[in-house]
Amino acid sequence: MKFKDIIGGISRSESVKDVYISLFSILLALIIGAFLIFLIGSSPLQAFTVMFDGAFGSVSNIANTLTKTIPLIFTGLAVAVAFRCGLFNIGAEGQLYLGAFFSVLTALKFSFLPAFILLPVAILGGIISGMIWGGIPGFLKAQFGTHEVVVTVMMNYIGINITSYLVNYPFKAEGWVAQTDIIPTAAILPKLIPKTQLSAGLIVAVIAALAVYFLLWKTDIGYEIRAVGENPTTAESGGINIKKNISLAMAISGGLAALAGVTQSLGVYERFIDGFSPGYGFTGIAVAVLGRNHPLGVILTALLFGALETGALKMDRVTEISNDLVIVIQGLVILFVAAPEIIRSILKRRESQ
Amino acid sequence: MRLKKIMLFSLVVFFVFSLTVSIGAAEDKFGLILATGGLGDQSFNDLTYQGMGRAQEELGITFDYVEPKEIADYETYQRDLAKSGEYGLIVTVGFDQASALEKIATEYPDQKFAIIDMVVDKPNVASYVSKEHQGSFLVGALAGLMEKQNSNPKLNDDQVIGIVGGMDIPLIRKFVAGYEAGAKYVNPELEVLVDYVGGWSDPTTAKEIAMAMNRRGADIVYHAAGGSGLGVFQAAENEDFLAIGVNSNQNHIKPNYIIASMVKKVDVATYDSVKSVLNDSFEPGVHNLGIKDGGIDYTRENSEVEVEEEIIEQVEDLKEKIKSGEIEVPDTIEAVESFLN
Repeated sequence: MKFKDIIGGISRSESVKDVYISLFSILLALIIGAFLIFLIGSSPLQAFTVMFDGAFGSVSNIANTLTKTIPLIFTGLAVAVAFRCGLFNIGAEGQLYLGAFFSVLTALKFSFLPAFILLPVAILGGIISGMIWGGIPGFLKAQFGTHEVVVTVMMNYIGINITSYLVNYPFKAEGWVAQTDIIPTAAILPKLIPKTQLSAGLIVAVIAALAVYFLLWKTDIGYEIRAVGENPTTAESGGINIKKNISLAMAISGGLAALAGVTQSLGVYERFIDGFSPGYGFTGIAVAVLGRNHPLGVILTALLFGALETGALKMDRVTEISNDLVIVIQGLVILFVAAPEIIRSILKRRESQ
Repeated sequence: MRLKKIMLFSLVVFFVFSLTVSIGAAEDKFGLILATGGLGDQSFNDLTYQGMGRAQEELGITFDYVEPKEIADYETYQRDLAKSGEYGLIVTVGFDQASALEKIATEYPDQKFAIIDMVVDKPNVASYVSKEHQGSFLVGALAGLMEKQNSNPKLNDDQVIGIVGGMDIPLIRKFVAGYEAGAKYVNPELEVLVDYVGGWSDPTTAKEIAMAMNRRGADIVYHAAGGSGLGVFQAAENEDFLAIGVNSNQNHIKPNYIIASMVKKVDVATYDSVKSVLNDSFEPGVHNLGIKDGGIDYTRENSEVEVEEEIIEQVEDLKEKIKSGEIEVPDTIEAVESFLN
């Protein structure tokens, strides 16, 4: 199966059946996960109870879950917007590193600005760098027909290593760790709940999701982006500029991905740290796929993944089960979603019975 | 309704097996928060885990360990473990946990913490660091003696050795001081080349430095450069000279080129921290473990490089002298000169 087919299969319809497939995939993955836990000699019920408690058992646990949800919402949205235009953005990881670094750099270099304006400027600095980094592969695709998958993958390496160089040499803070200085207090995203890592990044994430929904379904620009994604030939004969929309969709996608890095750096670490992301950009692909490239689906899926990962922290401590299990469950979910035919055939058999 | 049956069946399975497992609340329970590398790194994570394992066997404690996946998890785990109140001591591994620990140790002043290989100055934190200069002295002496003997085919006639540091900072100068002191103590003729990479994950530059040193006659090169040090080993293999590993046993990486490794026994630090809590002798502040405490050593295990028995005997002899206090290894480069005279 080609990339185009997968994308086409995913973005074509938002029928109820699609939602079923997502839910069914989650359920199936959890059951297999339970079976794996059982195989290694632990209790699946205990494991899942502990995970649920770890993710939602208290206010601070919920805060932890939401903290882990924030970057996934952004990268999920980023991949979804590109998908809607028929593009596969594998470059979210590099884009979020760029965004993170330049938002921190902006915060450090423009610290003379009045407090109320520093934070928005820092966020904007991050978004713009991400838009440029995401826009380049879009522009190359539009102008020269280079494959955006190849270019974004390569630009991940370039982006991550550029920021790594910058934080190891010119902008390194005193001491052992490859990190920048702490940003001024005015540039820190305020904490929503004290003594947790949950920051106002959550609000930014929800606003971004609403903005994406509004853009894609309530504006002409969004209509054009989706038209190009659905069928470029028809779109072109309808007078839509394909090249412009491809570049634009990738730039928006890059800007959204950048926000994942921006909110982590300005909200959690309060500085840029070399290699801080555990692969949010790649998990974002899974989030978009499972969330059916819809902002609401992305939020719900990011929340599910955030809860799984936060729950895993507790499971890791309390039980004998490694938190790597969660990665297995996430992988299985994606496998089932990406191979919808399996689920469809099961559903079909169920209907015929 | 096949689906429902499957689900029902799995539910039943859950219940049956959940009954067979019960969570026991132990009295002497300890927490271990590993560094992001996780278990299987053949370095600090595995070693601290072994230290806990030894405490479990010998002291009858139980422990929970967690493997953070990202730096942000440190704070979450530290707070989670501290808040549970279940742990007599929470051991954190690695320098990058320090900024989280400074925050959490203040939030939970009654919780005891230990941090391995870093100093956090809080009244409820015991910081375990090592006298790296002592171990470096031993591998320096080993290199010096091999140069003197000059029987290994990979060695040239020049009496020159080298050390590649990660950064020119006091901590790394401790390695340099010990290495130079050890080498010149046994072989005063020796010249010791010193250079710094400027980063911990830059093997390419480290390789260049090591090759440049080799061109100037250095045929044994030690490193204190973290991940960059792998470049030193590559250079040794390319140009056919010898190298010395650091921190954990690195001999297996290039067994034909690495003579020995200076090892920080963080398993001992972990074990000691647990024991101190059990004995009610927990002491916050800096614990600087050296050869005497078993916190520092060198190892030839897994190395295929041949070294004469008499050389090893002499190094072992020096080790005893450091243990007894007869030799006091300098920990700054400035002090090396007066040490040798």
